Amino acid sequence: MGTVELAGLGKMIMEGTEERWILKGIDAVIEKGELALLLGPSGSGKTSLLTVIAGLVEPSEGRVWVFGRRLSDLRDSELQAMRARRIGFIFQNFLLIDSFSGYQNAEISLRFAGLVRAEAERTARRIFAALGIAALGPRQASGMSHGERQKVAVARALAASPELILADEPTASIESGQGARVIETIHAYVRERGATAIVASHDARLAALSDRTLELRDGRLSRGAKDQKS
Amino acid sequence: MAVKNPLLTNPGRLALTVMVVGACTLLMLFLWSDYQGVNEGAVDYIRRTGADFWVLQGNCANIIRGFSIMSMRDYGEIRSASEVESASPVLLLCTAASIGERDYTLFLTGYRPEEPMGGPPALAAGRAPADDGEIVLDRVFAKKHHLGIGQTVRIQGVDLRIVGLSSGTNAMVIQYAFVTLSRAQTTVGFPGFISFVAARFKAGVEKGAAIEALRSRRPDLNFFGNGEFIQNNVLEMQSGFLAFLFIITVMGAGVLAIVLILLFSLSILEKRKDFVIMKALGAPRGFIPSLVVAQAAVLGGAGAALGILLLFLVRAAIEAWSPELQTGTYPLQIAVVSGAVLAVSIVSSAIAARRLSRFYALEAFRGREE
Repeated sequence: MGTVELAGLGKMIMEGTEERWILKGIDAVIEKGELALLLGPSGSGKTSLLTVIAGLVEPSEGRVWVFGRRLSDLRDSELQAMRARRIGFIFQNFLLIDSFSGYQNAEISLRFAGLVRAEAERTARRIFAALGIAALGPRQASGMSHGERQKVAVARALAASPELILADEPTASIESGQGARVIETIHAYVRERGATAIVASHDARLAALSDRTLELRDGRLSRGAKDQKS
Repeated sequence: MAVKNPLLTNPGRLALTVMVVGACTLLMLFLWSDYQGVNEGAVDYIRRTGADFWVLQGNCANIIRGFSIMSMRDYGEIRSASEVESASPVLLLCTAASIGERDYTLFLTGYRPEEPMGGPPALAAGRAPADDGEIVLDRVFAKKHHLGIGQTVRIQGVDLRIVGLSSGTNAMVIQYAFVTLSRAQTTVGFPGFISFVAARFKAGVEKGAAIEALRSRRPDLNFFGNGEFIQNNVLEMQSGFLAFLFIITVMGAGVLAIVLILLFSLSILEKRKDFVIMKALGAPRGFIPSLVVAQAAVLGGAGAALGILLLFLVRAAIEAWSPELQTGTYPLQIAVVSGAVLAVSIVSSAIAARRLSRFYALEAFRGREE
């Protein structure tokens, strides 16, 4: 069984009195040790798919398994624990807590993952050093440049050694060289730890850096469906 | 570096909240201190006179708002009762003293200086009046009007020389002054009248039984043991002026709660993005509300400390500016008000924290088209 499995997945929303399927008929398996690139233009359903996989949104139809467990069988507390301990998130625009330092942004994630304070502090320092961004650790996030925020966001996502990384447009609004480095960092982590990553992006040039490409168009997979490798 | 509380990172908001809590703490503490001061000051004269029992006209139970008229014959009868060791007649008048161009109201207390009770319970300076031309003023009254021993005050057209200053005779809304009984009777124009009698029992007399015996002999008069009489006067103050202070104190707590709910709600809304990130990252249930409560505890504690500090500064200023406004502050009051302020802060934060249930982890992924 893959780290993430989607079977007949669909998500419908109401727009006024009309139904609109933002995801429909999605079947896919993302295996352990893979970096899957979720490609598609704006409005194609990439972020919605990530939120379903994260257990934040219930699908209208179909089934989702993450780490071999069907999400609809999990209680809220189990979903919260899964997000805290086993999934690393990189949000669009990186979403750091501005009043926190770089280290503290990683530490809070580590605390949620169950580390005690001293251990969280040590681990945050270690990951910043490993990523070569120790200088950003003590600095307050509000004073960081876009590129610096991106690096801290990646450090936060990797800090708790997650088994699955969900990244939503991590390369948007930064120049392509920097974007490639982010994907390479995530890919190196995936290979080294045997983890899994799903990266949503509209930048097709990143496909070369991924193990598998899933392409979404109007909520449907047009490429990279189950058992299909890019 | 430990993870900090994002709600405690806005210095301007923190200072404003601490000032609000401090001001409300000050208000509540000051009103309670004032309440205590009035409670004590109103009956200090009675408490310190050292009487075993007090006798007043029937239907009159206190001297704060009671109007008792008795005759010297009543006094003579009480004085000669077999149970009584000593008795002192007192005529208490609410009268005006002319100082400069203005009149100021006093409790003019006429007593017999040769009797053991009825006069100033303690002298801060000088001596008791020896004749009808002398007066002892409450020291707070004297200080307020810049009067001293050797100067005179005019009462009913008669200049009385100040020979002493008393303490324990400031009832806040009014102060006591002491003259001879005959001077007070001349002032009111009825030589044979008195207001009440302060008396002591002989040693070995059972006080309760003795009061009952006196009551049965003179059912037209009211006899009160000292404790009961103090309580009557305290209750009289509490049923009027003090209830007003209590209501303002409760209103202060209510205003504090409303302002704090607003401030805490505002700070929670300001940090919406941070809380959404925490929820998306998997913050355990209760973690974010605990940040709100911790904020309330820190700000409530700091505000209470500020209020206590301000109380002592304000008290010192008020005592210099208006010495008759006496206050009584005790550790228990400070502990209770601080505890109440902390409780109001935490309850307010819990109410404000209900907003958190409308913050969704999903928002971390929004700002997009999907």
